[in-house]
Amino acid sequence: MFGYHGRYLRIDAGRGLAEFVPLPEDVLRHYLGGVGLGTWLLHREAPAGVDPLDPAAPLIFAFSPLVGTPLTTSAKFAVVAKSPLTHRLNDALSSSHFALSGKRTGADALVLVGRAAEPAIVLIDDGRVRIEPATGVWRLPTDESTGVLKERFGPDFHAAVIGPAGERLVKFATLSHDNRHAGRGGLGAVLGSKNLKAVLVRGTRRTPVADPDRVLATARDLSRRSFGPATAKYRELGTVANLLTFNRLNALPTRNFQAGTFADAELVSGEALNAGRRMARASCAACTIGCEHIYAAPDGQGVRLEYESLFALGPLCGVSDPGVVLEAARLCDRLGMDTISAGATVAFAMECAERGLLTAPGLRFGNGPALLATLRRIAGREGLGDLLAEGTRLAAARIGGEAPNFAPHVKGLEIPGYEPRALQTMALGFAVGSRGPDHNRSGAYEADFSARADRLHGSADSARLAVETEDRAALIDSMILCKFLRGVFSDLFVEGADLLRAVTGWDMTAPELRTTAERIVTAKKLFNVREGWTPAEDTLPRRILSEALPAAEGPGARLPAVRLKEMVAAYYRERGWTDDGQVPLAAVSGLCLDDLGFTPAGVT
Amino acid sequence: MRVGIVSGAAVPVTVELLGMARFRAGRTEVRAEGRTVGELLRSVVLECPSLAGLMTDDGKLSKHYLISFDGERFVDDAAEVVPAGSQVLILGADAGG
Repeated sequence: MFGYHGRYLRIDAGRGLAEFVPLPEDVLRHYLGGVGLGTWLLHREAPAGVDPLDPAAPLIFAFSPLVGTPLTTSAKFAVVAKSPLTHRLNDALSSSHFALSGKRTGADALVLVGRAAEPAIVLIDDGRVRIEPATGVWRLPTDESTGVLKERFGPDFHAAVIGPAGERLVKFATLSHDNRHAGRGGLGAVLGSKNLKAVLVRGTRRTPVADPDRVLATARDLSRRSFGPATAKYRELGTVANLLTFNRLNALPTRNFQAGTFADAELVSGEALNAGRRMARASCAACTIGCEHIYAAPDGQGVRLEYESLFALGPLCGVSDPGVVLEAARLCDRLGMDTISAGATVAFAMECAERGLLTAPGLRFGNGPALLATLRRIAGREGLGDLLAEGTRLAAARIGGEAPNFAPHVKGLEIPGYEPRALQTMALGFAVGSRGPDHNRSGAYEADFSARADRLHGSADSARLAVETEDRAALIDSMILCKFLRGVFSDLFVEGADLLRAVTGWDMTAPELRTTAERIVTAKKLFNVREGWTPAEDTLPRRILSEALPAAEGPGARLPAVRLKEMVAAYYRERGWTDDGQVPLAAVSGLCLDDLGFTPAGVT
Repeated sequence: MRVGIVSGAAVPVTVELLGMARFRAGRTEVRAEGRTVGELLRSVVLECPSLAGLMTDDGKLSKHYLISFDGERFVDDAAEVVPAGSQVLILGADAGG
């Protein structure tokens, strides 16, 4: 087999056992790798109804056929588990040497189950597994842990680690590798629940490709195109440039989604950061884009900052001091917390405090020191932080009153920096997303920022556009390539088939890849159905559906519940699902999903 | 910030620049004129040559920039007439992050 090892490594941290398990070739062809393969494995390995933090719940690292090739941005891996935040499927991506070395251990995926008796680390060395005490790293921040582990085991080992937040089972804890995070949905808490601080990988086992000359030529061509205008923004400005644009379009979530513009946006804009604080640019391993922009924190240290962290820790919390935002982003990185959920949770708490639903003196919009203190308390589960560590859905339910109406989540996952009322195709993508609202799983904002959609008046026509972007994301996340490359492809499915043909030798075609993408999206949905999904989950917070978005002039944008419901119904139709969003048996068979071992009940 | 059409002739207007357009131009706005979007953008490029990538060689709108009227409606046709009284924005096309 080309591009694959044809097996995954299953590690039981509780029993201290490890075994290779064969992966049939048809499964690999049907699910490719990354998110697709991780989804298939989650179906197979997760007991139905398992609590995400139960020892039996699997945490899956999935590589891809492109990892290890010279194709730019291909050094990526997916992490898949049942989310402790949403209790639905969660998939997150990260990149760099963990992907390269992880695949060289001789496995296409790593599946972790069980719970170590004491805090431990897992070392996978060319397929051999050791579990050792987490001496000297437990309670350390992610960056310090990485440094200690590197010193102890040498530079050939590459580590995915959790911070104190993951150890304390903060529901939005991340997995960090070289300060890039598999960020969303609390995957760090899943590793923490296994009493594991880190997974280290090293290996020498490369997989051959079917057509090395073709792979090399394609890699050169893709690298050349990656320097072009389609990626210029990521190289030259960074994603922080979104902030002023979104602010101008009344699409910048501000003060816990109470507004779409922030009066002090200029102060925390990407332009201001680039003018006054930019220090350096960096990139993941095997990447020619170099999208990481490093800015100087008040103490002069460099902090990587993306738009999502900037919006969540800035305008969403009413904070206009860029120094505070940078410090907050660094705190989240070191403590191991998703910046989107962390910022949104603090913003939600600020509104609760301002409305008298919480007693938290000083926790008010715009109070930077209160933001920083609350982030620390969340990671430490101290006082109010213990409640907020559960995420906004659970915190709102416990606070009660009107709090659930403005808790900024869908399915339990906090909403990223795209105001749904101002970007209504994106609103649909948020509502139906399998892991909850996410700009990396639905790129429907691209339709909103085009002549194809009316961003302020979503309609049933939006469904096709939402499906298109969701399928493209599923394919990119399974091959795996960086989404920042998407603009260089004239037809992702045609070029994706070319890439996979050269690597695997399979006679891949664009139509087959379209089916593959649909299969992966549907498999994710089926996992959620298996775990108790209901149509009522495919919605948005009551605030979004009942309050107009304030506007400087004229009536603000509205997204009435009935409109969203029509859009969701159209999305189900576009997918070929039933009126209540169930996957028909014919679709299960037609997409070769029978081997998931799950048949939706009550559906024909 | 207004585009005015008087007897079929365009009057100079101020076009807002955001994102990559602002970065490339090194300014927040530019004075330009044009009856259609294409004409307007050619005028923008004359004023600000660093924005030469706004249009393709065959006169189409570049996919790397977005053109919006009033920040609400986006435009993909260079032949589209700029509505009287519209505010025109030029934005970078790539979100994400």
